[in-house]
Amino acid sequence: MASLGPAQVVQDGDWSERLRRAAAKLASAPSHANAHEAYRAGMEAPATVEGFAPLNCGILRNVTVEPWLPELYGALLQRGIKTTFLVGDYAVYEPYASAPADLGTPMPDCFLVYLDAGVLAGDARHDPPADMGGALLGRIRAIVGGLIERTSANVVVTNLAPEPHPVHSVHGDQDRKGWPHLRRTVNAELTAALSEEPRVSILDMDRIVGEFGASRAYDMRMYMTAASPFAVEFLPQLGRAFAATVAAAVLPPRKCVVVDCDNTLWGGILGEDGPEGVAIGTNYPGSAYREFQLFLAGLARRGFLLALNSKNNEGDVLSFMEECPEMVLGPADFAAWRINWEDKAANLAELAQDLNIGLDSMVFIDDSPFECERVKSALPEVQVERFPANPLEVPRYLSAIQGVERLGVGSDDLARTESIRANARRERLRRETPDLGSFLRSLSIKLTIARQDRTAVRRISELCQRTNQFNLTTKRYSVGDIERLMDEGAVYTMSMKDRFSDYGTIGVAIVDTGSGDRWEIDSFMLSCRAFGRGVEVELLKAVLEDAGTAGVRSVGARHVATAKNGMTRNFFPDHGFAETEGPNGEVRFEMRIGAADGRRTAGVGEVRRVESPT
Amino acid sequence: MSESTEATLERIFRSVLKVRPGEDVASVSVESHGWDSVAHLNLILAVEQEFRFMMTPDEASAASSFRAMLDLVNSRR
Repeated sequence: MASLGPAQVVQDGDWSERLRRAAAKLASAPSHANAHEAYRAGMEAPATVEGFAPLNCGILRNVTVEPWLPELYGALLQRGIKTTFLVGDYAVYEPYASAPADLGTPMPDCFLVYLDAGVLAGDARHDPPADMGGALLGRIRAIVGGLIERTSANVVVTNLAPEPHPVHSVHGDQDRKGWPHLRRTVNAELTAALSEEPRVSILDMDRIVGEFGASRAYDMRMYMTAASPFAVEFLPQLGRAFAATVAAAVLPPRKCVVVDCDNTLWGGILGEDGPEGVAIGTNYPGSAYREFQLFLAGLARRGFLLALNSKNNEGDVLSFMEECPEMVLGPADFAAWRINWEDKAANLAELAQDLNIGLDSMVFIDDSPFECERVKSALPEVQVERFPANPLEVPRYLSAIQGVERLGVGSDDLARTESIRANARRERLRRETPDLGSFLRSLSIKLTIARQDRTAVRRISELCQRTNQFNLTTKRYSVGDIERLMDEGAVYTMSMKDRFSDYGTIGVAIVDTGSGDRWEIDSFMLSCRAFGRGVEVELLKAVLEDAGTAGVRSVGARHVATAKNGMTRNFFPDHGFAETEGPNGEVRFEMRIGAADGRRTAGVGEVRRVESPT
Repeated sequence: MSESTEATLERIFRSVLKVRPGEDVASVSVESHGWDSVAHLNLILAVEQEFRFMMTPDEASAASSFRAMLDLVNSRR
C-alpha cells in the first residue's frame, strides 16, 4: 500500500471535515437533495478518510434501489461509516449469490439483500399454492447461504415487507392459506432459520414500514412506473434502520450506558421536589420515565453495564432508589456511580477507570443540553444521547437512540457484564488482602484454553475489534476472517473463572501454522477484564506446547506498536523470545521450542485444555 | 430572505447531477453527462420533496431539462 505523504494527509483532514459537515447538514435538514450532497461528497473523497470506517457494501435486489443509495449513504455517514456501494444488476440476485465476485471489486464487507415480496411471489400470491411458503423461504435462504459460504462478509437481509394496499383485506385476515398469513409465516421462519447465524442480520420490514405507516411508506406511482417502491419521505427511515443494523454488525459495540437521574431516570428534581414530588410510576408523566427504566433493564439483560452520573447528594439518590416502589431499577442494577457535584465529564472518566473500560465504550444520557455539550466537547469518544425534555417524546427517543444496538447476545456477553460488576467486590477484597500473591491465590482462578472453538467466532471477532491495550498486533478481524483463520491455522481462546464470576472468553491467540517447522503468532490479545493476573502466560504456554507437539522448531511473533498497546511492548522478550530484526527494520521475536518456561502462573489453580469443542 | 425557486432548483440539480462548479445549470438537459434514468428519478424525488407536489408520469417524463423543470415547478406554485 502506498504511504501517505504530507500533502495527502492535509487533504485527508479536509475530507474528514467536509464529510462531517455533510453528515451534520443532513442530520439537521434531512432531504433527498442533502442526502445527495453527502453522497457526492463521499464519492469524491479518497477511499480512506480519517474518522470514518470504510465499508464496501454489495446490494442484491429485485427493485430499483438507486434512489435509496444517497439515503443509506447519509445514514451510515452519520454513524461514522463511509460506504462504497456495489449494486448488482436488477433482479439478478441468485447468480450473484453463486458468484459474489461478479458484483465487482473490492469484495464487499457487507451485503444488503432486498427482495420485494410482490416481485418475488409474483401473481401466485393471489392464490398461493401449498408449497409457496417453503419455496420462498428456500430461495431466500439459498441466497443468504451462498453469500455466507462464498464470502467473509456480514449479510443484512430484509424480510418480506407488508404490502402497501393489500387487496385481500378482510378475507385475507381470516385465511390461513392466503398471502398475508403466508408472508408473516415466511418472515417468522426466516428469523428462526437465520437468527443463529452470526454473520446474518435480519432487517424487519414490518417494524420499519409499520413505524412509518405502510400507506405513506410506498409511492405507488414510482412503484408501478419505475419499480421503485418507497416514497422519498420513507427513505431516511429505511436508511437509519439499515445503518443501525450495519453499525451493530461492523463497529465495536458500546458496553456501558451512563445515565443522569433528575428529569432522565425520573421526572423532576429529587433535591428540590423531594421523593414525593418526582414523577415515576404507571401514570403520566411518571410512566414515560418508567418506560425508560424498563428500556435500561432490557439493555442490562442484553449485556450492557449501567452506571449513574448525577449532580445530587448520593445518600438522597440511593435511599430514593431503594425505597421507592415505583422504581424499576435499584442501586444493585448499576455497576458504578458518581453522584456528586463534580464535573460530569470528569465523573465519566472516573467511571471508565472504575469499570476498566474505554471512554469509547460509553453512552451518556442526560436531559441537560449543557451537560451533553460539556461531555461531547471534553470526551468526544463518548456517544452522547440527549434525553428529551418532553416526556411524550420518550417512546420515539428510545426507538432511535444510538450506540445501544447489539446483535446476538451470547452467554459471554452476559458473563462479561457480570464480571465487571463482580470487579467492584473483588477490588474490595484486594484492598483487604496484604499482598498480590495472596490475593491471586484467594481468587481460585480456573482457565479453559480451547483451540478452533467455532462456537466462539463472534466473541473472538469482538475481542479483535475492541481490544486495544493488551493486543500485540491489533488486527481487526471480522467473524468471516476468524472462520477462515480457523480453516487455515490455529485459533486459541482462553476463558476464565474465579470465585467471584465467570468472565467468559478473555484471551485469543491466532497462529499461522502454515510453514511446517515454524509457527507465527499473528495475533495475541487479552481482555482488559483479565489484566493483572498473569493469565496471558498460560495462553502463550498453550501455543508453545502445541508447537512442540507438532514438531515445530521455532515460533515467531511481532509487536505492532499503537497509541494504546505500550504495556505489551516487552511481553514476548519477557517470556523467553529473542528479539530479531525483520524486514525494513521491523522488530520481531523468535523462540526456539524447548526453551519455554513450564511453571504455572502464580494464583492460577487450574488450566484445562479443550480441542475443537464443537 | 428565502431562496428563489430558480436558486432552489439549481441547488437540487447541483446536488443530484454531476454538474461541475462553474458549469451553467440552466443549460443542463437529459442530453447532458450524468443525467441518466436513475438521475432523472432522483431529480423528480428531490424536486417533489422540496416543492411539495407530485408530478404525473407525463410531467415527469417531460421535465427533461432544467428549464422544463423550472417551468413545471412554477406552474405548480
